[in-house]
Amino acid sequence: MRGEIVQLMRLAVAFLTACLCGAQPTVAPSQGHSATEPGKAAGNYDIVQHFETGYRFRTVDGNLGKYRSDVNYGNGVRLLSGYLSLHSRDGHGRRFDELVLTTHGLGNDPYQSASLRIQKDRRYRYELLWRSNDYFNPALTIAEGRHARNTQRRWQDHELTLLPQAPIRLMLGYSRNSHDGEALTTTQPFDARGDEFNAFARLKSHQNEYRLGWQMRLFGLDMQFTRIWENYTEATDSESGASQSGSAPTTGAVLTAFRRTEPYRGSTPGWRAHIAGERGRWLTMNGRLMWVYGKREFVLDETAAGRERFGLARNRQVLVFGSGRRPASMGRFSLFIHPGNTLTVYSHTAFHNSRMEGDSVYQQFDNAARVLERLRFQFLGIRMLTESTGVNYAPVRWVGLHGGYQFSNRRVRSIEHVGLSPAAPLESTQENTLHAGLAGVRLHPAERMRISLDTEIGRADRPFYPISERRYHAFSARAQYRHRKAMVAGTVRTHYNANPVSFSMHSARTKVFSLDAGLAPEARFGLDGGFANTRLETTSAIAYFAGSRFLEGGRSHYRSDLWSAHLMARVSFGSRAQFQAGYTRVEDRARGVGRVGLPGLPANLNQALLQAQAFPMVYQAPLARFTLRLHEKLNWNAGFQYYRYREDLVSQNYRAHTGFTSLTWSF
Amino acid sequence: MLANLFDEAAQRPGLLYIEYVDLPSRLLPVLLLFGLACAPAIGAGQEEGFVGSAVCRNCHAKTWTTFHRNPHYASLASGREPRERTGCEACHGPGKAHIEAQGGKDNLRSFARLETRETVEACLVCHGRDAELRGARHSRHTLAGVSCGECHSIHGAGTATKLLLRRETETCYACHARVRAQFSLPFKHRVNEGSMRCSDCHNPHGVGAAVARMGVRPRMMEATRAGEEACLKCHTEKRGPFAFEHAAGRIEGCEACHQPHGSVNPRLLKRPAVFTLCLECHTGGGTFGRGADGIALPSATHDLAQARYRQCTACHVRIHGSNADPSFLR
Repeated sequence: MRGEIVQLMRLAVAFLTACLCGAQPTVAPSQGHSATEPGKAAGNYDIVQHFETGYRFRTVDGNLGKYRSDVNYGNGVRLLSGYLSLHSRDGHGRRFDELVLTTHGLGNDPYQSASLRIQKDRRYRYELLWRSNDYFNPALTIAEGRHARNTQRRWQDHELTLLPQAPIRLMLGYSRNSHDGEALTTTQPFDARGDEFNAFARLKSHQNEYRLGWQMRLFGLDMQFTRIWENYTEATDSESGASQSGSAPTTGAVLTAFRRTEPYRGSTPGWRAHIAGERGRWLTMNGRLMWVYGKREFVLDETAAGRERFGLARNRQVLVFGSGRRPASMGRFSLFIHPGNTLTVYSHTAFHNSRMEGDSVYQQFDNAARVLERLRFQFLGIRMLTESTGVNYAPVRWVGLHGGYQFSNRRVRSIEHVGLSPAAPLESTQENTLHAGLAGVRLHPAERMRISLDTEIGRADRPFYPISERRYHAFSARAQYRHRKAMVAGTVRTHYNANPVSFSMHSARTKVFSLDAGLAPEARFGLDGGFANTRLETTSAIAYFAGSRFLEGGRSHYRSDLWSAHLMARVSFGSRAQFQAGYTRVEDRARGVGRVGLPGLPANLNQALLQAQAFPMVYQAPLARFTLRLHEKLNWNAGFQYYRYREDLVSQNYRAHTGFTSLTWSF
Repeated sequence: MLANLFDEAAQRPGLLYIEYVDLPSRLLPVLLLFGLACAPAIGAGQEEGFVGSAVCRNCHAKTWTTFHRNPHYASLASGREPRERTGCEACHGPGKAHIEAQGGKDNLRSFARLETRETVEACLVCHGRDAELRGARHSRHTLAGVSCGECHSIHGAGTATKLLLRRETETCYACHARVRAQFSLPFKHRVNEGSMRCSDCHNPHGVGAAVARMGVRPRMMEATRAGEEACLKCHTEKRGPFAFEHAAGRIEGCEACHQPHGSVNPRLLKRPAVFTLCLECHTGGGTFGRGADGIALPSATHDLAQARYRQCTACHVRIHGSNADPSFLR
């Protein structure tokens, strides 16, 4: 009997290993590298390095576009992860004391990153973070699937600090953010009420930011000043070469040629100052000021030829040029008073003021004759003041009380000129004030147990949008027990908001419940799991035109009942092998309320409103990862992750097998 | 060489400071001044029971073995810091009583026994100069009893930088289970994939009052360097300024339409159908904006009975802001 069990176990291990080798692995969860990992001495340095390289696999059944949008791992050889650290053994390296390099997914993974940190004590500290993200989105349920994107975004941030421990330190920084790729979009070339046509777009934008700053201590205050220069360039163009009909079947509009170029560039210089200080242990303060002046120049040149909706031949050119400007200032000041060890009084005050102003000259040429010229000018000013005052009181070690008051006031002002006539501009202002109160209790009934209860109630007088918070109250409770070998935590949250106005209303209710637990009785075994449930229900009044009728009093209902669970187990077999397995499942179980209840509503619109009331779906992703030590410096890894996505609204379901097999060298 | 120095230092507290005098004579005037400035501190240190870090390794050999790879080792290696900011005693306090008692946690600062505020204050003695960390003194984490040691570990860090207990994502998920669920949704920012980090948008050490939205929210959100909403750090093409802005983005923030952590809907939208998302705001309410109608109703030409008019962004392609059309058509 015992022999049979051993035989079965061997078969199971062999099967699992075969699966891991031959299956299409996907996710390669990069292992963390501990700062306490022993290294190898090389001269005055202590070196630790690991490089994991291997091959990724994938197979997808179903909607490949949706898979690429959600996951996007592909096939090919990768440097899945890399780690190199050099530390001076005595803290006095010749060029540097510390160098840490990490990489993730290099070699054509959709998500790649690298970070580098080099520093020499008291001399300099340099940090680099580089990231690349391949983004693919077919957007099937948005704009009838006509706004696809296959783009790549890259970021890099460089920070150099000179004399990091000196009373006066110097900081230099550079960041670059680029976005390139192809996209599908739409255009309405002949008139705003006409047909829309597909167009192919090449996206290209680059942002460069340079920073120079210094920090010093003066009169007992820490002061930091930073000068910022930002340049932004966008050179997106779009075109459509082939003759095509529009999306409205009842019109005769045809587009035979279309091209649009729209260069857009500008700069945003700015200043940032930060001042902080303290008086003994009873008073600390923290202030920050920012000022920026964003300015952009733009030109749009669009040519289109074809037939308009009434069937007439049209040749139209649109030229738009102008500028947009947005000066903005922001200030924050925080003050903390500690009359004793048990009491803290704090006050956060902040303001933000931005005004956006721009003008654009619009010229339109129909069949080579200029028929329209307009000067448009728009101003949008937003001013906001915020004050938050609170008290934190802990009369005894195991009880803490917290209470506070928040005040926010925001004013929005807009001015608009339309046309060339000297008519008075359209000007309007709206102001909203919010008062909110907070209260909370922290309990520490046992050394390892912590309980917190918080509540907030707020009232706003004139919110700007129907979905804004007007009469809301929120409550949250959390209990946690944490031991060195076990942890369990539970959270409950609710948030209710009602925004009734004379002609509209909106109400939203959110309830969240989550439970998490972790168990690690010994170093070779760990278990981590949890689930969360988020219930959201909103009702909003909507009004619209349908079939030449104005329908008001309608309702937009939306429900979400999102359940998610995860379970991860890790087992080590001595020092030779490690196995991880996990499962993640997300499911939205919500069903719509099933009523729209508006007389005269067209059947197809009624159906569309019913469909938009909920979005039932299931998304699950089990995974496994196995590591076997082949040699002191060589590990073999294999991983597998299966994805399954299913929903009912649009047919874009898929199943994907992904995985990898790799070798990790440590040398 | 340094190891020998430590051995001697273990026998003769204060040796590290005496050794400093033995430097080229041209630096002597400066060093004398420095020595004079430091002398009171050194004397005070000896009186208060500082013994130097080298003694600690006799018992804590395992910690000592890799401590040179710890960023805090710099305070020891430089030899220029005052004793209360050097090595083990910088964090754990004077060790004399601990040594005389041959161990124990009652005679030095044991972080496992400290209250949250005490821990934060101890760390901010050195890290308080950093503008991004200074807010930890009164962040919502601190108020909720989450101290530095809940996320960081000086001697048992699981990451190469920042001395985090676990990877940054896992550290945050340990308490924010709901956020873990959101990042497991089909459409999400690539946090689990390693392309983004929670700290790209949030500052867990606390920020002052937020001004992106009303109600001092969102909390712990780190604004851009220009004080704007964190989303615009990466999504620069939506930053503007535009001649015609979609005011909702500037007033209610990106969260008016999007769920930033994750969503079941494309583009992280809050609703599965675009037209319901737009219609919930465009009810004609408010007094600001074009013609003082605030958030305009869709015009009568938009016959919602036709499917093409239910795809608002099919035509309003520049929904975040446009320079050429107030209705965001181009």
